[in-house]
Amino acid sequence: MSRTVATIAALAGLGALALAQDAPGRAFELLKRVVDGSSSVDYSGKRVIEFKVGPDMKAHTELVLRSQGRTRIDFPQGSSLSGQVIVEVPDRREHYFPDSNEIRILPPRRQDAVDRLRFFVEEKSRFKFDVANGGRVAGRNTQMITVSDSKGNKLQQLWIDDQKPLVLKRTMFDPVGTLVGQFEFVTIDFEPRIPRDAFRIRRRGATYVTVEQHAERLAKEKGFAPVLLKDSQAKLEFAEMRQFMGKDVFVQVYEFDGKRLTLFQVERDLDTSRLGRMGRNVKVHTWTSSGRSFALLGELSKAKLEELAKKVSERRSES
Amino acid sequence: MMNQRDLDKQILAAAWDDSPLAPDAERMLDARLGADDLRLVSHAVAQLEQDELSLAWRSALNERLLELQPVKRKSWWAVAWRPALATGLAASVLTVALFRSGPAPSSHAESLENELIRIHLDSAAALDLAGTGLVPHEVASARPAPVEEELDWSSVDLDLL
Repeated sequence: MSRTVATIAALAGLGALALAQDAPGRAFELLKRVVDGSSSVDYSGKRVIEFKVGPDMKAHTELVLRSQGRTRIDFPQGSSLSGQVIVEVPDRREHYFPDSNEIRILPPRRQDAVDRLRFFVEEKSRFKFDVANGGRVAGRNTQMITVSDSKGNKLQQLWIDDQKPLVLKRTMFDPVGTLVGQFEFVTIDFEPRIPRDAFRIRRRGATYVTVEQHAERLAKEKGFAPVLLKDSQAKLEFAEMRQFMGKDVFVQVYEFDGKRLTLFQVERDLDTSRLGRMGRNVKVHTWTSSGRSFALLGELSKAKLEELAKKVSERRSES
Repeated sequence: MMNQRDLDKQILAAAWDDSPLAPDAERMLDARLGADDLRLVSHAVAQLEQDELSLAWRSALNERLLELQPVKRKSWWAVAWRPALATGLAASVLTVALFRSGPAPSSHAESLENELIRIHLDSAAALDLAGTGLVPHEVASARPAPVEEELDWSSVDLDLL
């Protein structure tokens, strides 16, 4: 009897040891499964998403419907976002704003998000992976993957469904370990019934506005130069006006070759040396034009930023 | 003809007064300097080696003297007050420099650059996280739909059919 118990214990110990040694490999395989298979998962669910905005965290809830690579997002009745609808298909993203009766045309984001997750898989030697039991999320069993940098600083945690290649919960951290954002599905149904025309926005009288037109409009409203980065590889993701110390800061965020580029326009001089020092691996190129200061930031070489900066100009009016 | 004694007196007097010798005395002095015995002495002196000061010898002597000199121990107060004085002086200079430079420069400049970096990093993180969902500025700019446009359909309406 005691020999049997000892044998079982030894085997269990060896198994646990093998699992422990293989954790990075298992984590990596799980991540790869999500990257390769997430497009094929259909579901409907409610997810709560939380961002760090300035010093605070702001949360909102999304009602997500996904089928055959298409996504629709609605917002709960009673929330400040109620009435907005987002529909994304592989080549297009439309965002309906009821207050302005506008349908904004944007580049699709989903593939980019998958590609950025794929970055961990393709550059696996630069990261450390670990896996643990993630417990239950939205009523589903999960595995929790922790992705850290080569020095062991935690970058992200992903809770992946045990059966489906889908991330049900995700947390992200800044370089000093502070939470900068997270989302979590609170309900999920992998056999959704898809309403007809769910992935199409039809609204008579609505105005179609491209993201470039929106950026130009914002710039003109606040007296900024209505300039854009005109490069075939650069996709304008969004433009917004921020306030800093009572002054406007015009922000344009681009996707460029899988990386983020931010174009800033401000009314005062910028200290390039300070900007460069604080940016860690973020490079910066600054210049002035017509009394305004511009800064282009991104994880690209200085020479590339300088080259792209020459392509910042006004768009020709479209007929 | 003056004798040797008188000649010596005249030479001394002339040297003292820095005055020329009398012609007789000058002739006699030339005759004496031109004598063979004096020329021999002069030649012998000229042949002597130049006696130069040996610096190596002097240096070795100095080192030897230093070795033999008893070591002076620094007194406790010398050890204590010198660093204190140096620190005090440095603090004084710093204080004066700070006061003379006027009010501290505004942190506005640094903060704006910092803000731009923060916006860039936050935007990148938000786009990563949101995927197809909303990013923060889209949430912040949300305004409710105009009341006159809302049609409040609900499941109750369906039940009536």
